[in-house]
Amino acid sequence: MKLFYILSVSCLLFSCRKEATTWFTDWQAPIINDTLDLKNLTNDSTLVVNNGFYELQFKRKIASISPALLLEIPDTIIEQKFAISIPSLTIAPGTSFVNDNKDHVFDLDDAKVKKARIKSGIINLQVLNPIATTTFFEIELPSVTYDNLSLKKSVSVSAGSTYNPTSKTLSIDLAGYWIDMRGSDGLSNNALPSKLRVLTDSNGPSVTLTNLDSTTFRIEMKDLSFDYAQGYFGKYNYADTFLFESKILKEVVTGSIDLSPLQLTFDIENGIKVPAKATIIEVKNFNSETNYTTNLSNPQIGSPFIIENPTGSWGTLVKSKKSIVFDENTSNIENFVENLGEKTTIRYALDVNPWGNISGGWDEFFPDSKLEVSTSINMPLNIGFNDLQLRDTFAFSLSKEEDKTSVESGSLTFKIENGFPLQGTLSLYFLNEYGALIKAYDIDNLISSSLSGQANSIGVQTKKSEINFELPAELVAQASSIKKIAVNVKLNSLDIQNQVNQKVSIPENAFVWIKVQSKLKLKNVID
Amino acid sequence: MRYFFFTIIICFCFAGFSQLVGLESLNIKDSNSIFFNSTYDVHSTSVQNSFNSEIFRGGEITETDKTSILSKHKNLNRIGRELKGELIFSNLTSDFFKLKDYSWMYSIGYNSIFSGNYTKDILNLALNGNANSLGDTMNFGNSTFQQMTYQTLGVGIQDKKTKSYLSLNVVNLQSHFYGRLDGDLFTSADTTSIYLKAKGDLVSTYKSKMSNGLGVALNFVLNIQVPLFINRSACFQLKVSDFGVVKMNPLAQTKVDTIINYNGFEINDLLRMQQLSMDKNKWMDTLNVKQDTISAWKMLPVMLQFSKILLTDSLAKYQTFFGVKSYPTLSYFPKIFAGIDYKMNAHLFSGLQLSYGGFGSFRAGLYVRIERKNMHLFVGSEDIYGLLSKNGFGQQVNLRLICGF
Repeated sequence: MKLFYILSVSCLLFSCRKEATTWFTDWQAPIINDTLDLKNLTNDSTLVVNNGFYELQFKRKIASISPALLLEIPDTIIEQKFAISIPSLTIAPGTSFVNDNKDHVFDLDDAKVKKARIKSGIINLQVLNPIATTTFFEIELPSVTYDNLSLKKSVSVSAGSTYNPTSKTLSIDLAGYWIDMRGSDGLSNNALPSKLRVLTDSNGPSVTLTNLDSTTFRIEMKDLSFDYAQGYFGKYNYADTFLFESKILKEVVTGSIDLSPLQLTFDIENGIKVPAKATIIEVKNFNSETNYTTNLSNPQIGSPFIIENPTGSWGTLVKSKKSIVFDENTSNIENFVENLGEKTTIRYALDVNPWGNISGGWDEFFPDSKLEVSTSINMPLNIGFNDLQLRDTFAFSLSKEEDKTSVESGSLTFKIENGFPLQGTLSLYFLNEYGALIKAYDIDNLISSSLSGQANSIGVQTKKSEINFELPAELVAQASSIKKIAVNVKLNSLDIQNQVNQKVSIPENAFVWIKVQSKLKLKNVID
Repeated sequence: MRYFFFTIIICFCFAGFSQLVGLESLNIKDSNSIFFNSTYDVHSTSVQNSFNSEIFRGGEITETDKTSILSKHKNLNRIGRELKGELIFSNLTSDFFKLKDYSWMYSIGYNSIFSGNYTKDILNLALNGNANSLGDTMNFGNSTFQQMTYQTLGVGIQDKKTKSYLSLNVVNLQSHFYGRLDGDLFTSADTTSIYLKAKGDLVSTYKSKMSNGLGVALNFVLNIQVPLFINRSACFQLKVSDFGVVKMNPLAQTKVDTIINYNGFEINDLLRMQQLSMDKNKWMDTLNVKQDTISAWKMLPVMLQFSKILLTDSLAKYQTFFGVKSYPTLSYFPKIFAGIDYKMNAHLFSGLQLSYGGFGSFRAGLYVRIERKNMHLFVGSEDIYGLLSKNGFGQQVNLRLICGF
């Protein structure tokens, strides 16, 4: 009897164990729904339409040099101290005991500026009074003018002492002021004349001045920049490298293109009146996939050329322009572009006043003066594609645990309407965390050339295609190992008749409409 | 005898038995008594026992199963499960603080109750996915599910004559979850777009704990004997169980409030995306799903019942019983029941009960009870068809043992 009860309880206990409950569910969802076209490139003037087909007209500025780069004005402090040479002197009220005119010189290296207009900057005028009565400082900078009036300031400073002088500072914004830097005699350069007069208060007491009493006058000029200057700006050497990286070319892994005749132009526009020469040192294109560099060749590369001065003056300035053209007759431009390197570098140098002061101090720049270099490409978009492969890689993660909901199987449906005269194949590479290939699949003839299609409602010839790709069971089984997916598109521009790659023109309004839909079967588990 | 009781107790713990509604013993003439009282009840308007077996015992739910399950469902459906066990000690020889008409009573109980109401669409989505509903709107219709498991320990006062009682219980909340979801899902027929509107929340206690909160609850039974004819009377009972609250320990809350019109990614989005990922956190941000930890008070699933009950010392050959039972805070349709009790001999009785409502709909039950001098035993089921057939919409088994000493 005992045994019976023990066994019956044991059966009850063991009968409660259960296995996992499973079932399968089917899910459908869109993944990609997009239309790719070239309208944005038309809007930003990279492409234009000519006779119903696109042409490349690409212009970019690669350098812009402002006159401020040529003529940098350092912050300058000029200090004058005045003391009597005799041991002491009693002076009556209202007496002028300092009366000084002096030319101060800016250190501008080898530049010799005659006159300029100040675009921005401030001047701080500081005076120190060591004597025991109020003093009046009359300061004039006769060559600093605004509306033809020179800069004059009067400052009164309260009584001070020898070892504890009183001080006052005036700050003046100099924007818009003219400055004549030829000095008091009109023959100098970089000079700033000043006139200073100091007198005692006429209503104050007589005071005794000693040779220890130092009356100080300090001029500080800060953050000065000019928007007009005339003189000799000195020698200046400037070199730089312009780097252009193309994201889409970065995704090209192999293949080639055949271009129509194109023209690459360097335009140099100069609004600064200064003798100068420039050199395009090197133009090269680097393809990291092939590890190949193509240098652009042309007689002008490596050879310096003169930059002409602009003509005209205030409000009538006409910039000089020099164009250097690289085309199939003068260079290897086609080979250069067909290298499909994602990195293009242009190295150039600029020499200002390379021969010294040959202008006699007539270098000049105006508020709108600049020296700019830009590059432009003109080419009909008539290109042949020969197994050109573009690849992009995405990080991916999908956990698959047997005791949780997981993907059991699935498929992707690709629907494409193609308005470009290109055909393409899609390849998917599934990689592990180290980039090693797990599985690769080709989806052939995914993109059919529009040349084999028909005109749609807006007159664009298109070809539709639809392909269903079943996710292989072995791929689903290894889903948790997949950490990256590389998507590879291979493009060709095949002639429909003879199946040979040819150059094709891209029609206006060409587009590719892509839709990818997924079907997944999930295994659901309740444990 | 010892082994018999040991087996009965083990059966209470693991197999589960349920209390047959409407039967109460009033006149145990012994001084003290112990009630063993338990319930196992699964009921639904639409889920058959065969499906329940697959969920609870495991195995694969096949396409045939799914078709069969869904064919039984209406637009709105209910489901519930109740597992209760209770031990009450009535110490009738004691006086409640010198009140000679009242005595002490003590109780200990275990309760686990689950209820839900849901739409057919939400079950279809869970069982089949969205692929068989392309072009149709799947409505979630404010579906709710809640579960609570708790233990009680109580002490109270009992009327020695009428056996009415009032007890105060300490409640230990073992686990709780509550989920609510409202909204729609529409997948276009050509799978070019998905529209999802979802608003809901899910609250659940953290697992692996014996206690996730403490509370108090009142249990109240009032028995009123009403004279009918000469030498005949009837007894009516008002019963309130688990009227109380618990303060839950910090628990996880997930809220979703989103409207999404999804047509697929653009190529630029994919190129900018760092990772194509089924990472849970990324999709939660996209779907505006927020997680938090909250602390809250929660009402227990109070039970209200009013019924005419049986008199165990009645001389009548036949007795009737009827009443209504309700769980106002759950997805529970007030259940009305009625039955007839037949005295087969001095010690053996049998009965038939019909009921409608609760977590499901119509039920028919049978029971047998034995009355001895110091022992009453009740065995039965409110749902005989469900007990015997996998096509039934639930199962219920009842057992109660009352011993006097």
